[in-house]
Amino acid sequence: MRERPFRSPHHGTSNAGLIGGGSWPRPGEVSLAHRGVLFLDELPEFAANTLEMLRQPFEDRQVTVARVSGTVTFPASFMLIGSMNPCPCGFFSDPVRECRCGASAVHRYQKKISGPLIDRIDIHVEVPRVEYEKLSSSRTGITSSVIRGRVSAARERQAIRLQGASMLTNADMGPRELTEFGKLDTSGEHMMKAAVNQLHLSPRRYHRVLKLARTIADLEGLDDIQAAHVAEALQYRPRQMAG
Amino acid sequence: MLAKVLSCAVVGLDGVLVEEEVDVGQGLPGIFVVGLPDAAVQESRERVRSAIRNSGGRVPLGKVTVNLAPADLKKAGPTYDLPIALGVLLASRQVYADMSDALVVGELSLDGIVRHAPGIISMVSLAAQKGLERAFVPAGDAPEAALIQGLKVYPVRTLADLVNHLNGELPIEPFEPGPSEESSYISDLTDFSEIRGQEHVKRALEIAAAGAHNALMSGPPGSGKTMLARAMPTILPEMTIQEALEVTKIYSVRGL
Repeated sequence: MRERPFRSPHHGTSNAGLIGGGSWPRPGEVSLAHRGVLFLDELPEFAANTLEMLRQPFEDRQVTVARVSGTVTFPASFMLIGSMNPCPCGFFSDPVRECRCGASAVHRYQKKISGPLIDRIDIHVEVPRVEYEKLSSSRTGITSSVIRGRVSAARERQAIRLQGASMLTNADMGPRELTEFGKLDTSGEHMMKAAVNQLHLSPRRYHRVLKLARTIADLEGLDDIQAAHVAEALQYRPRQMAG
Repeated sequence: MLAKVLSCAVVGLDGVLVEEEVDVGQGLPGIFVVGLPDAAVQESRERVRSAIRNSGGRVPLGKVTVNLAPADLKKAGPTYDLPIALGVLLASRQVYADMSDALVVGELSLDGIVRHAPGIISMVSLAAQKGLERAFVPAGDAPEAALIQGLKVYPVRTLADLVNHLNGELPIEPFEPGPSEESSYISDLTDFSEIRGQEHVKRALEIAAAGAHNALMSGPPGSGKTMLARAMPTILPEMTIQEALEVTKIYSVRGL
């Protein structure tokens, strides 16, 4: 098999099913998504403690299961794609339909995904309703194979650059690699400085933005990160939606 | 008489060599398995007995002791059936062969057909590391086993086939990987061009794919979040050989 795995476990999945385990430890969904995508649909429906267990694989890119009989390590280098509604009814901040949830309900719903987890997600994007004009238009977008070509080229650049650190993608980079490879040009530097000061970015968020800007520059085939790349990366930072 | 056959356990994703010693001696007839076997390994006695009988062999009239070494490692699963059956046949002098350089794995059905074994890549790669030269694996698992270089992989269809091969009556050809027919699931998925609107989300997912970044989509029901996520594999590049091997190993251990 050469195609990357895509796993979409249901939110009823047990901790052991997601992370791996059992008295005879077996790999869980995070390991089955190794080198591919772990898609968690309706993220807030997952049990809070199940989601928190994702923190170790995010940081270490592997899962360690300890049993009396011994400790077993499974690789778990995956990219998480999550989806969620903004509130229990789903229409908070929708321009057309009114949200029927109370402010506290919205708050509680969004609180289900903890701050540390939010912090570990590089890209936050809103998916609004699609207007009729777009839905009915016959204009087709760019095909997947074209995008795939761009993605492959960007990944190749990263793999060559990160070879010495035995990493494959920008998401794997630690602070050391980031200092070495996250070079901003003068305009990028200005932009980043303004962002950190005015948006009060935490050091971790700063690193996330820089990593993301690195990838955006890679997609364009550029060695230095420019202001436009930083600006786009900043758009994908998490936003407090309510309360 | 005593016979030894090499087999393999899987701990996590790594193989551990298991030596199967079979002794046929005086005593009440029966097969006794020692060496921390779990329930599935205990039950292999019954499968081995029937498989031998239905493959034209005979179960020795005496006490058959099977030891799985190292004795302190728990043995799980039915993959020890084939090596135990072979050990019994060797120990009762129904087969004459030197098995010191061979790995044997596989589950047996009552009629002697060899069934799929999970974790075959981990086992065969261990065998290659340990310098073994032959691996007898279930026929269905041979393409997977052949991903490992450095030793000959023999696809075994039935217990009788293995016996005929070892006695030199009807040799099994070592497995040669042919042109692999890739079954692509990508072509069945929604293409990005078929999803209307949401250009900025597609852009975000392209960046996520390019750098393997985590992404979270938030929006009202029905706006296409799930559809966009499910289209992700269509924009991800193929894995390198090294990556594919890592992933195949995990799926092999899970028996998927």
